Amino acid sequence: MGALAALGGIALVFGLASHRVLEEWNPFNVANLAFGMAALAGALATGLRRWRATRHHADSGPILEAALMALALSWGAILVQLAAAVAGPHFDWTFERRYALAPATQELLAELTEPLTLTLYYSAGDPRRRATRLLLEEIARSRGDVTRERVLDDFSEEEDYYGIGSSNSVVLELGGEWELVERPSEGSLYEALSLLARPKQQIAYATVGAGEGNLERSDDSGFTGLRAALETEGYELRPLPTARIDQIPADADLVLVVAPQRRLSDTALSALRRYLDPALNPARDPDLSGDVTRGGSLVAFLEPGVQSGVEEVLAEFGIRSADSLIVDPSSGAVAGDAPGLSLVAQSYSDHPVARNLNRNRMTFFRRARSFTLWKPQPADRLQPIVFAGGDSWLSEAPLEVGHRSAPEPPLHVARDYQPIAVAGSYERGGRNTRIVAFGDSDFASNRYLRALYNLDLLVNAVHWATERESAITLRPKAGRLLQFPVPIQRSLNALYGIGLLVPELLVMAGAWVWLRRRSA
Amino acid sequence: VTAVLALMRKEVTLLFTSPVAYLVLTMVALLTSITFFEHLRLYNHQLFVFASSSMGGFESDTIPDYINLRDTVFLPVMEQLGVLILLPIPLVTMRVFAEERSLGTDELLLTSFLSPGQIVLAKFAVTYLFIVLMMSVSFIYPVSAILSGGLGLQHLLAVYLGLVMLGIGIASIGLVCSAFTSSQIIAAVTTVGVTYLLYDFGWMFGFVDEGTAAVLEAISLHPHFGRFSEGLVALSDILYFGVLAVVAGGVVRISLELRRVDG
Repeated sequence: MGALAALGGIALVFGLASHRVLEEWNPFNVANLAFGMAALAGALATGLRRWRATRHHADSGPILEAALMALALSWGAILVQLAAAVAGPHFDWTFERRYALAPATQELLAELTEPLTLTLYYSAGDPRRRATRLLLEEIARSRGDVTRERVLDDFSEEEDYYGIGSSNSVVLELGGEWELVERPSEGSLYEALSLLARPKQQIAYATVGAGEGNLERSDDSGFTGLRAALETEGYELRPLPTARIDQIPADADLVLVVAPQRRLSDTALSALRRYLDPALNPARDPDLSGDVTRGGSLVAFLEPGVQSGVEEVLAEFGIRSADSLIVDPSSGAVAGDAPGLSLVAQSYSDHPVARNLNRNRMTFFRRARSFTLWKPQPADRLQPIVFAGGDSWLSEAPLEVGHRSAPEPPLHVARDYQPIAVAGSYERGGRNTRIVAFGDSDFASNRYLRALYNLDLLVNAVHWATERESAITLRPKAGRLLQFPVPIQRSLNALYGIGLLVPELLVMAGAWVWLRRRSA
Repeated sequence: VTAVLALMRKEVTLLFTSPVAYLVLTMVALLTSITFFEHLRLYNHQLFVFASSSMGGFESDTIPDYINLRDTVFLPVMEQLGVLILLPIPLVTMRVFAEERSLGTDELLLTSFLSPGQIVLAKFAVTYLFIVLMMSVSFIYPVSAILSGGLGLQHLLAVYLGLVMLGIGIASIGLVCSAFTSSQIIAAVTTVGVTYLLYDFGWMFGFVDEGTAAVLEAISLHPHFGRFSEGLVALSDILYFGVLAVVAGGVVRISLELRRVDG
């Protein structure tokens, strides 16, 4: 019986393997499969006959009992395993917490009302497939969404339709719309899903014409990352040429001023004033209904050493910014700049913008100016958001970029937590105006936007300014890869010390046992 | 309990008075050390080539993403060790029941005051403990090598857990094969064959429908073991190997009952 079963098993393996290699049915694999199944059936029949024979001769009770118990236990274990596969706990033990979804991703998934389909297209043998697949399963798990896998070339029509050009690409489908992600990570999938799930609801105007940061430039000093991040969050960005405007467009939900290097025209500054204070705006009647509706929203990034006129507008709203540089002795030299000028901020107020930030969730600024706050009207609410370290002081002397030595503090200099970012909320003409000002723009540039928690601070500030507090969250981080060198000499020493010593001792023990047994 | 412990003690003594256990432990420890060191050396080499001054230095982001501890060390080491332990484990499990049967001592055991369930429990427990010992010995070097960096230990622990679970899965198959034959060679060869067949049904996905493919994947060893190498520890994967152990225990118990009836 055993020999027949073994022969049948071997024939089945050969038959299936032959079909797999040749991808067609031929006499060889058909004969093998037929013989294999017949042999296994024969072995089974023989086994049953023998079992019946023994049943007549002996008490079959214990066998039946053992078989029933084995069946019951096995089915019980399988059911528990299946239940765990559907809803069981799992733990992400990767260094970069690769499979633990960020709060923003979880919140976005919770917002979806339609089923989501995630399809992975891959080439056979692509080693990235498993990691991508596990990530997709994590995303699909919370709502029971569908994940699918397609081998490239087997679905050429779909490849052409979606424009898939490389293995390890993911297509997200939601409500008849789709997005292609070619380098899937939680961040890129989140961005694609945001574009599908959150149609652009808000219009943001970014001032141009006074040397502002370029939102179309993709190198390190450009701001395409800022643009992409805001588009992901549902903002449509439009340019606002300050030389040609006498008022902010009526459909503006937000005005962005990204580090102008020259003074804005007086007309543009007046337009900005009227936008922020509807009482000054003759074209926009003040709301006299008693309900406070939304007014202007401004997010401004200022650079030290520049007087663009925006500082004057901010000062009228209680945000004064002296032309000085924050020096934090606790910060080191970064990217060739002098020590003390690159600020790693870890102190935050309890303002909504900083809701999820704490000492361990730091933000990075480079050459920032500080602010002082005062209340133009008693009902105004002004508050710092982010502070430099407690020993920070303000340097009035201009320092050129590339200056290598740390600035020297003057005698009796005042040291304190210097505000790097501030926020103000005002009621003007029956409308609620909100302003957020940052004393630096580098932190939002392509080079530093994804450093630490800069992106979260920035996007959360925009959400607060446009009164979308519910969207304030933490977004997926780019994977922190384990790329530190492991000292090879130390590894070699460990190999000789432990890696080879342990096997040597085991061989010695084995030899000793064997020799003792021989001599016994 | 005393009887089960006595049988376990006897099994441990039998195991460690045979040179096979030491050979298996040595083989796995040595190959793990060499495989891990070789991947670590390759990783360091690639890291320094891409971070060399001619490529721009460490601060210039010239190191490609695919060179990292996870993709260059943990994943390939895990895959290689997963295949490697297919060979030594059957050498341990082949004797557990087959030797008793060939020497005729199984009849003594079956007529003792131990029930077949207790015999299964004792023999399975000792074999599984040996698997844990084998993987612990083999992971002394990887842990000490990674400890110098201080990072990635948790991921390495997931890798270790995955290999222990896979070892338990293979041992379960091996114990079933050993219970149905009196030849240790047949038990070992059958274990390798069955494990190889069950290891990964991925090659069949090309000619079965999606539903069948999902079932085949659910019963394959490799997908459950592979998640550990990615650093993801899921209760369902641990339970999968637990199910294998329970099913194997049940089948072996039936074989012992049949043996008792056959005489």
